Amino acid sequence: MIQNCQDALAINQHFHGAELFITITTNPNWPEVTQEPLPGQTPADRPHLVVHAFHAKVTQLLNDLNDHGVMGCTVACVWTIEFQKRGLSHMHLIVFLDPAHKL
Amino acid sequence: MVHNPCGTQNPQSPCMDGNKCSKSFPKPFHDQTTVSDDSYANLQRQEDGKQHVINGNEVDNRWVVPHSPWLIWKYCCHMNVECISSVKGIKYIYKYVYKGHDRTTMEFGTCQDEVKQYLDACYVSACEAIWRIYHFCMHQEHPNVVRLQIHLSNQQLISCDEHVAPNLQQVVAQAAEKDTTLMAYFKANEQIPEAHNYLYQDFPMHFTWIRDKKRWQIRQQGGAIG
Repeated sequence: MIQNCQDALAINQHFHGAELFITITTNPNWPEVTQEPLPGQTPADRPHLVVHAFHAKVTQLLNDLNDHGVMGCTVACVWTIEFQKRGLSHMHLIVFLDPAHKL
Repeated sequence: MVHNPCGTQNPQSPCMDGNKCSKSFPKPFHDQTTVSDDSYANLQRQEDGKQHVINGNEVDNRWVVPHSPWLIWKYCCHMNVECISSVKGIKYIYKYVYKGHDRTTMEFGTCQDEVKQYLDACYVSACEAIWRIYHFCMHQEHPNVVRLQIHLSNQQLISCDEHVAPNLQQVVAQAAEKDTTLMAYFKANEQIPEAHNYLYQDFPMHFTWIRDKKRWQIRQQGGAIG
């Protein structure tokens, strides 16, 4: 963990500071998560649905940021996943933008 | 996105800390966005007299939570976007991101007389277990960062395996065959003329480190930070 943090700080130094700090949390009311369980089941009974939905959204978000540049041209990004006490997955994402797109 | 009513309208709201909202809603009106002394932004909240009724409560600009409409529309979940403006905040944010797992202290045994045993345990929820079973990434740093060793001549750090090399002579003989990143950098400079153009810390940008062969090779694609 400490090495990862040092690596992230090295990236930060190389790109002269980050621009955006994004957090994203699982929504237990996503239609993907609420429609699929069998009658009587709750999303908490099918954690793999929640995880797959979150993974798909995270992949799409990184794709949007890095390949489609919805927030401006991205040169680097650093992210971690953590799981809150209630079990909902949560992502912290730091985005480094191209100098031409800096805020 | 609007903050749930709290304060006098709803004293039972989860955001209430004593008699105050812990997120300090409703926020005061501001004609323009300003940055306060502690580098928090006071966002523009115009007093335009407009009021809307949401779930039976009247709300105006003071109750709005800053949000990104496009991201919320697309991903349909809690997303918060902050701009990192000051240098001071950066280290705090990195520490926050890499603070590691939630930990819990558990207590075993019910008998009063027994010495109580404590365990610093990692709490793994069902979702996390599934995430790890599917081998999804827990973190990612892009671009790659290569750690470069720095040492004096013949004073590099070496690690030894008791089973592979049981005595010191063998450890030394094995270490002599392995180049560190710094030693391989000097060898690359002898062999490849192109290497003369780059400093050691810029080397990973133009060369890749072949871990098995312990040598640098000219980079074909991508980049890395030394």
